[in-house]
Amino acid sequence: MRAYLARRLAAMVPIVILVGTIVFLLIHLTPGDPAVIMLGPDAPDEAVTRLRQELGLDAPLLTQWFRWFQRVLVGDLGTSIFFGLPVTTTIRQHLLPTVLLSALAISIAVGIGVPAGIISAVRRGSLMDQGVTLVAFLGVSVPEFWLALNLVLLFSVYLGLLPVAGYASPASGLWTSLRYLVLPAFTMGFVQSALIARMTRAAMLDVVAQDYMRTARAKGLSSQRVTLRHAFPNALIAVVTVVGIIFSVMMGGNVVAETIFTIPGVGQLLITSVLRRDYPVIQGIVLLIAAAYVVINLLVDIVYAAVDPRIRY
Amino acid sequence: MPRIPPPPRVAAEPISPWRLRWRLMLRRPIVILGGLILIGLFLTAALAPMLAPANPQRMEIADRLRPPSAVHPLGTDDFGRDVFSRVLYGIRLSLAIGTAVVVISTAIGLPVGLAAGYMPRLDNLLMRLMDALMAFPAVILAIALMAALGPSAVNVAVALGIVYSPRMARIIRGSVLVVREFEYVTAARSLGLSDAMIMARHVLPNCMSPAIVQGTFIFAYAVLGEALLSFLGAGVPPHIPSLGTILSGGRVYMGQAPWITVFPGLAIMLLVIGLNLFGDGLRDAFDPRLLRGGTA
Amino acid sequence: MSGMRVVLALTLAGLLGTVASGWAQPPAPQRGGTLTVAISADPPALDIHSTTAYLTEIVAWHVFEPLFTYDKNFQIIPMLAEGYKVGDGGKEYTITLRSGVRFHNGREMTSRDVVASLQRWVKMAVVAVPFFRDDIEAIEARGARTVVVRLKQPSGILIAALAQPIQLAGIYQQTVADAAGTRRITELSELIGTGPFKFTRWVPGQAIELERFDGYSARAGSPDGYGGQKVAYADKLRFVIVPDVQTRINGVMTGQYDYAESITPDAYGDLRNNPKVRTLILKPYGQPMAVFNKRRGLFTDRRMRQAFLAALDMSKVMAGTFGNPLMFRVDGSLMFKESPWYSREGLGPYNRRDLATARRLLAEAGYRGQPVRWITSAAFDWAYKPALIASQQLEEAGFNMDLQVLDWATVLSRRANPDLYEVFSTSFIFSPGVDPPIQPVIISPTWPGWWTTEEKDRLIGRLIREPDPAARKRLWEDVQRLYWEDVPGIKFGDFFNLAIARPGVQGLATRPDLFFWNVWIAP
Repeated sequence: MRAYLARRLAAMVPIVILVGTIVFLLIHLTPGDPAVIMLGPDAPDEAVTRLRQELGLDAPLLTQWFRWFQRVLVGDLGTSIFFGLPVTTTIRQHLLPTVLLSALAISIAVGIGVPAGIISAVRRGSLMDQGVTLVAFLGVSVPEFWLALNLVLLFSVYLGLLPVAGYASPASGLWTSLRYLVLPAFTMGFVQSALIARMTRAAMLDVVAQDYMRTARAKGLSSQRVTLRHAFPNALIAVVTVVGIIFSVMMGGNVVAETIFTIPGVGQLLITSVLRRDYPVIQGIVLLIAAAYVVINLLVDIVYAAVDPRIRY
Repeated sequence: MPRIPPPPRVAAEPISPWRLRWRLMLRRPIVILGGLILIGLFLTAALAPMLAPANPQRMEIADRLRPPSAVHPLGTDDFGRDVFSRVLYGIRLSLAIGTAVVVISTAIGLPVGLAAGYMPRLDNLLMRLMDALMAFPAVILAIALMAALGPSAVNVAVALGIVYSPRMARIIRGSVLVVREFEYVTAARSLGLSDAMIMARHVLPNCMSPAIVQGTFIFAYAVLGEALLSFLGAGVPPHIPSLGTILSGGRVYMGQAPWITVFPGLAIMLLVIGLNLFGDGLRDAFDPRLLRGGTA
Repeated sequence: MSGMRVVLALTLAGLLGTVASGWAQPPAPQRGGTLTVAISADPPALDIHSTTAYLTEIVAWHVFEPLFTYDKNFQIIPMLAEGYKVGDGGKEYTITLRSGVRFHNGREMTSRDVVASLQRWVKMAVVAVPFFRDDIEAIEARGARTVVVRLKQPSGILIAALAQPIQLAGIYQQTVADAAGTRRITELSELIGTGPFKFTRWVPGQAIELERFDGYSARAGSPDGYGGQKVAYADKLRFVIVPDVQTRINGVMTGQYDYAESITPDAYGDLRNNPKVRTLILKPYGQPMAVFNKRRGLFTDRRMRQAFLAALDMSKVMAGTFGNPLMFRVDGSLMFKESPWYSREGLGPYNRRDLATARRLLAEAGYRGQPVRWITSAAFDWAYKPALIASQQLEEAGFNMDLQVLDWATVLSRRANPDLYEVFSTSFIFSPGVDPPIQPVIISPTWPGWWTTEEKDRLIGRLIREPDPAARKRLWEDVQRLYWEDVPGIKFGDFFNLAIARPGVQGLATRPDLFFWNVWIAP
């Protein structure tokens, strides 16, 4: 097991570097000059050239990549062109909102999706199953941003129950913080819960049809016991995979929710940095996301091993 | 003498797996419903030029932001363009882009998945590459590609096709891993057939079902993805009617002119519901356990 | 008896009148509370010398003050300065400073702080200053209360440049200005000014917080435009970053924000009738424009440009872009109506919508249907919508339009390359006291578009050196006449900025550059 872990963590480095390099190429080959954006369109040419030199943008591409690579190896992600602050600081300031939002959204998604999927599978064909299936359908079919817009209209503008947008850090009160996060988390969570419900249902149905389930029932175990102790843990693998994928997607910062609800998270930072051509921040965030994705994948695999005694690394 | 039951009846000829699948498909009402929705939408899209009462690009500033009426069944937008015509063309564009995305993602994902599944030496490398691609937040990759390539429907399709190709590759690979162990493949190998031949003639046809199912889901992702990209301003140019651009443009007018945003949203939902119904139905129909015969 | 009744009635009437007039008076300003302002994006910096960004200006000028500023008629008045004298034929400016002005840390401002700040600002400023930067011989202190600027050539625009709100010539402490050089300052502890508010917190992406500076040295008298007496009624000022316009609107409606800037002009009609918000039209604001590539390609030929202009219906373009007629003006004068440079000379060719003339000119120029590439961005309504509407009008005249909608960064980078476009979208934003020769968007030969004609260069050259205001106005009118004949670019019209506030917020001005001193929240 330990050897496996070590191998996986070692594999992480080349993947992350690879992703970082692809992004580096992509954004540097995109038209648009961060120096011009910083100084404004009316800036005289010599000011722009001076700033480009200061930022190191006038060196050949390979040199720039190499400088970046060297710095990344020691953990220095550079300085944001737009803010003038270190990239790590900038990202750190935007990280907490995204983490909070993702955690809340995933809780909602799993909290709704898994029980719904189980019930749906256990009472297959019943009215409840059909109801859940229908709602889950709508959930995966609705465009998330459309849902967000309408939820805001309903809950914030018409009913005045929740704030329209924004973010309050938990430092200013947990309840206040939650009030701001509820709508965006629910928007993200609902759509993902539909997916999780469907996956859970399918996985449960798969398992229920297996031979060992018939054996358990034949042994005379109660139906509920059969479900919880035998069916569900085996369905768990599929569910955990999906949850893992979703969480890593969310870690990318859900751009839609963060934009519409003005959550100053990593996703919003990434979009605005792309628009501003703030190369160091873009690369820093992508590295972070890639690393998070790989780590989460690894965690998922470990959970597999814990849940399924047949799996051995 | 005890009565001996008559011998069991034997079918006159074996049913090909494809015909079996077809029949299973038709037995399920959700497949039919999904299929009908899709057929309806495809027809609408194909006939859009005839169905649309007005040129979707034609601006009449004097008529801007008019509510639905006889002349403009879904009202007009902030440039005085007919929303109904734009939604029709938007459906057409969404379907076109969706198809293109499925084609591109399959064109990339199929060879990668086949190679990874069949040749273990390449598996690790290819799957790690696919991992790296999936580690990318899809939206960001698409936005970056769009900024590099410039906004156009083709570039949106290319960007999304690249973004979704790992999903196709994974499904194909999984399927290949299973098929590889089938007896007739082992037999073919022992007969000395080349890897390429085996992949093409034996492995590939058996992966088609999961590929088709995944294809319908990628289609759905593509429709939603294009809408999102256009909504964020990184998709199709805003004057081209796509379901996403209409939504995006109408957003500021949600109070004054809700008809601009309601209908494209419903159209997207209808399209994606149709695709999901159809895909789910296909997946159930193609379930290998049902094909093996015996009790389900 | 009836006499008594009359007296009683009169007394009652008198009492009622007094009470009523008391009610009719505006509520007295209240101190206290936090004013929350929703702004549309992150300011790139809070160091006001370092950038021309509008958002930096409106946030940071609560903290930093300039020597001069503009009054309600956009005339120059002193702010930190007491006054100034010009000598030596316009080559020496002697500026006297107010005394007793304190920085946020309690230190008194002296001429050494001013000299260090001006020296830094002059090196970093990109608007106006480049015209005379090389002419500056020295900026020196003469005693604790006087600063002298000596120039090699006379300049008519030095004081105007010191007063312009964009990239404000704010006064920093000497030690900070000297130590920073041209490096952008990011530490709040160094961003110390003399203004009515001081910075307390900056969380990029989220908010910038300020609080009242109790030791602020206000000017005597009353508020006047951007200057005069400034009082910080609110205890705290909070600028929150809300990039999405619909969210800004919703936030004011629900009371989450007190004020939101940069609201889509088209929303005016709807918001005007909403009792939960007060709409504020900020005029003047800007002009959407299209600029031709005159260095290479189709539009090096003047007839092509004139044909383009002749095909346009400006009323439709402006109405389609901004919606409500209260949010825009169809006016061809290059300088705004509110500016002393406004003129109606030479506006004949503007807004003619004459398809016959357009087609004739196209034929004369030998146009064969080559695509006209117009680069614009959907990021700004004033860039995208005029381009779209005008394109339809131009197609009707026979142009073959190729509208390219890109992201803003790409537009900025492409317009420097004459091989990549025929037309690009831009805007001209109002700046008080603006002197036409210092506006690159219209005049400069090196600015993208490249308007270089002998006559224009000659006129502008004379304009820069001419001291007599009447003569300058006449020269400017000649430039405007030339503009609409030669058509280096197209001005579509004037538009105004829309902001909204909660009804309880009092004291707000409708000037184009926002500020929140002298603003309070009614209970």
